[in-house]
Amino acid sequence: MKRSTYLVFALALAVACSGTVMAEGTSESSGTSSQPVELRFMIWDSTQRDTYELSIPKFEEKNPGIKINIEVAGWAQYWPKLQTEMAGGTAPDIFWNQIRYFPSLVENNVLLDLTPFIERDKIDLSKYDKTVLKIFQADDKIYTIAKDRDAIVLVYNKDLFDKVGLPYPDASMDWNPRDGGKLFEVAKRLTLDQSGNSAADPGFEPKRIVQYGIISDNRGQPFHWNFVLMNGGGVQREPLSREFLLDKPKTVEAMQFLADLVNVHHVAPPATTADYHPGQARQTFATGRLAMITDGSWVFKQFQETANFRWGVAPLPEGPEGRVSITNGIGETISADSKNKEESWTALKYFAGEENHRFFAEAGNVVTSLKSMESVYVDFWKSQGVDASPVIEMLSGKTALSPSTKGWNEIDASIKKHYDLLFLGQVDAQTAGNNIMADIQRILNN
Amino acid sequence: MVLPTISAFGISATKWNILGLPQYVGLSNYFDLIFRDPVFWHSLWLTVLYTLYEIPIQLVIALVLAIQLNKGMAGTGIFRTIFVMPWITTPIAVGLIWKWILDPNFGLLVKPLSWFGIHAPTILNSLWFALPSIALVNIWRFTGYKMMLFLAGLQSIPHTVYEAAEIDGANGFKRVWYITLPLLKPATMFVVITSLIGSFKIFDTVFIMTQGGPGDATRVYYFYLYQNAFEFFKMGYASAMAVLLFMIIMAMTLVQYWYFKSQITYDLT
Amino acid sequence: MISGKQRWLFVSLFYFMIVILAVVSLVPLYWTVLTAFRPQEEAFTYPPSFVPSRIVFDNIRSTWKLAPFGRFFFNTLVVTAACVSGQIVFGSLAAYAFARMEFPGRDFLFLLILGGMMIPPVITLIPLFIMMRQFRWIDTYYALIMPYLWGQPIGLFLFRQFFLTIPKSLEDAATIDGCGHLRIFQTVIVPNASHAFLTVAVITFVFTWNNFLWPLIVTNRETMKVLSVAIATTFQSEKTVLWTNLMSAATLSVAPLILLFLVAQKNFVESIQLSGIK
Repeated sequence: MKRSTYLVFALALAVACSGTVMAEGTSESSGTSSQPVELRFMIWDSTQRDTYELSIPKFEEKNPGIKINIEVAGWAQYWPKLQTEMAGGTAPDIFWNQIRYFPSLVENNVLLDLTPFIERDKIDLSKYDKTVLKIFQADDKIYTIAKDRDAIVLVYNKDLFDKVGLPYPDASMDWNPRDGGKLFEVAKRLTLDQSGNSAADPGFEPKRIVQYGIISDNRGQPFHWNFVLMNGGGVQREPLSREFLLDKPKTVEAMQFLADLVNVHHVAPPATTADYHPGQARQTFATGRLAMITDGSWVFKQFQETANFRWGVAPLPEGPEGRVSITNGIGETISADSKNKEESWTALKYFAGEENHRFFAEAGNVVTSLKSMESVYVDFWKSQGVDASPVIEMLSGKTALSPSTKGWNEIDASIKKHYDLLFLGQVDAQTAGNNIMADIQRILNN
Repeated sequence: MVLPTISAFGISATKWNILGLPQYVGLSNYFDLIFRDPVFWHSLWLTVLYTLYEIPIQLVIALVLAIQLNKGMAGTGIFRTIFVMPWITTPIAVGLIWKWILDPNFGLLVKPLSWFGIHAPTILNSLWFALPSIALVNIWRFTGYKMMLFLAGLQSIPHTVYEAAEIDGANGFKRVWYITLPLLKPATMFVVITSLIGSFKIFDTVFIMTQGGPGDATRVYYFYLYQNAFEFFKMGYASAMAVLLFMIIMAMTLVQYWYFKSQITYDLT
Repeated sequence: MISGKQRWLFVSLFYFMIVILAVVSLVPLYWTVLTAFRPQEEAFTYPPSFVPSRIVFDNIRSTWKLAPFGRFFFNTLVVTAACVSGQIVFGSLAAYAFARMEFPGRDFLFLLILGGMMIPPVITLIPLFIMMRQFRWIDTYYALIMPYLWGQPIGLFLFRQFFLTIPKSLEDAATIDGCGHLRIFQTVIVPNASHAFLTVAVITFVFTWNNFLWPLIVTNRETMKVLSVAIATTFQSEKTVLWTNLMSAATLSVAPLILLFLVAQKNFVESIQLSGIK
């Protein structure tokens, strides 16, 4: 290595230093009388940021003293990053929140209680979906107004139904854990092996399946919790409670039925991946070899882009206790340590308002929590050739919150673990349920 | 870098959920880990197993490749670049693509496996394959990197030594065994030690591909640690795991260090 | 002695094996690039097709528009250049000290530094973050560079191993000529370990380029993100993955590295020839 190479490195170092100086910025800002207050707003979805970028300028026009900076962190790193920042004392002013982590955050007093603000500014909460508002309430305190909600629906591949001459799924579809109901019949007819036999035919070969009727896997909110509730079972006795029902008969019955779809009846593909790094299930649907999938309303955009077949939306099949959809929502919460509480509240008020919600409804990604925007959402999807009204139907029916409680993550890890084995056919549903309950006891006692 | 490490030791003696203040609990984290947490032992065992899956195969292939490519055969430069490409690709893309390749129903391997009469889900979807599949992805990913390291080591062996050996009548295999390998020891030491440390800290692939599942089949040590730190709000517990990991790796490394030290003579003249 | 024919068999067998391995190495990468350049609806078809029906640049275009990639490249370059330089300069000097200089506690200190490799980064994340905050370095280049500037244990380790293989006789000769440590370093060590320097530079480059947990924690604004962070954050939200965009971004991110390697290959060859001549 010659002298000149050392020079190169020294040069690189110099460039780096000067680049640093040039582009350096400070991370903390507080408002002075001439400078606007800058709020840091952290979210995890970059496509929704685009929608915020439509509404935020309008907000800033009306509120010249406030500027909002959106920061996007990926979902998988959002919570470590948020927690690190809280530990370091630099939490963002506003950040997206969600039911999984909400109870733990509340417990640690890092969220700003908005009840006094809501009362002071007389916000009318009746305009919003009731169920989803409950996500962000604890001990009679309200921590935010949920911004959107979702419903689980049945998405199906129209082309595959046409090929076997079956009518598309609709509100008449039902299921039950004893004989499977219409759902099971349809799934059987749509599961085909290499020779074209369906699962309902005698010559059916389970080892040579080329197409599946439905997908049954360990996805939780978009899938099995709905069925459990429809069977009269449940995860918790009531939302956010610490009493769990995972070993109770109705829960076990539903889970066993779902697992059997994979291992006994072979109408669902063997799938061990839980949906954390999303999409194995959706990718399978996008291959065009899966006839039905239950999933959330958030998935339409992705299907639109990746599916090269016609698809439609139907309500979930009706179970023994009717139709139930899990619903979940995101809410913008304010950090209890924020130095700009009043300004953050002003921003939140706007985010909860009609103008902002309209932007989101028009973008079609989510169903907003403002009930008045439902038709906007449906219209958007109509313009895309998809009838999204089943989503609204599910939302006006019985809905339940996604399970959560303090320390939910550890409990959920145990649930996932044992249900993996269930879906693999290694254990039966009662054993899985018992094991989970044992783990939960241990976790709650710690 | 030293300060954070020390504070990590300190945190391990507390119960801390990150958002609040740490509470001192002495050694109870360690006690819980060792005596009351079966997952801890399971994850440790998995990590050892994983290391056994990954390292021997990887190092042997890397070494063989390096020796071959060092001979200057045609197209060496291109091959060297190709083998290194898995290592330089973004981990996220690697994980997602492999997950899709290994999909038991519609992935890339389904058809080829059926040519051998194997029903793909039987392997790809099974509990026992989960950990080997992670090893497979990482063997794919890092063999080229280890090869590159071996190559660099091979190049520090002067030609004169080989020439002398040829004059003495040593053929190919003898050359490798008696000359190349011993002289390569400093590089080998480096590769073995860093490989072992790396495989004990395996995380990315598990995070992206299996999240510890199915069941507990891929809940390797570092992943379980991460879950405790950032998902379960048990930072103190996780720090205790980190300290234990440190001690284990340190012990392993010391053993290797002394072994290699006794084996290596550094002077060639 | 092996006959000429048998030798030929061995060689072609090896060649065959290498070609197979090369193909295996490339397939997933090919798939990444393929997904980036093919129409979105083809990404998940079954049976999977290796040849796209047509090549589209839409994915790349939409990816570039989704986020300021030019800026990400710049940031990544700045950080990588700094870290590589730091590693080369400081790491090699420190390694020389550990390899050739005698001082009490040398081996113990070395093992301690090695120990730094053994602590899972996850644990040091928060204390380090708090440190960065104290210095007000959050969201600046300093936070991205400083923890790595003084070299990482792995680079130091590698340097040390290579320096140890340089014949002591050369250094003795230099000492007799009256050279102090620094001169020895310049005239003896550096020329003879050029492939070590190259290797460390390349390793550090790739590591820094793909490093993502720490930069993610420590930067907030879009304009401060590096490529790896951008890939992680822009295309994955809670329930959706923008596959084709992610693959496009990954392709964009890997391209410079491949270029780097093709260039470095040439230097590798040169340095072999250099070190052969004594």
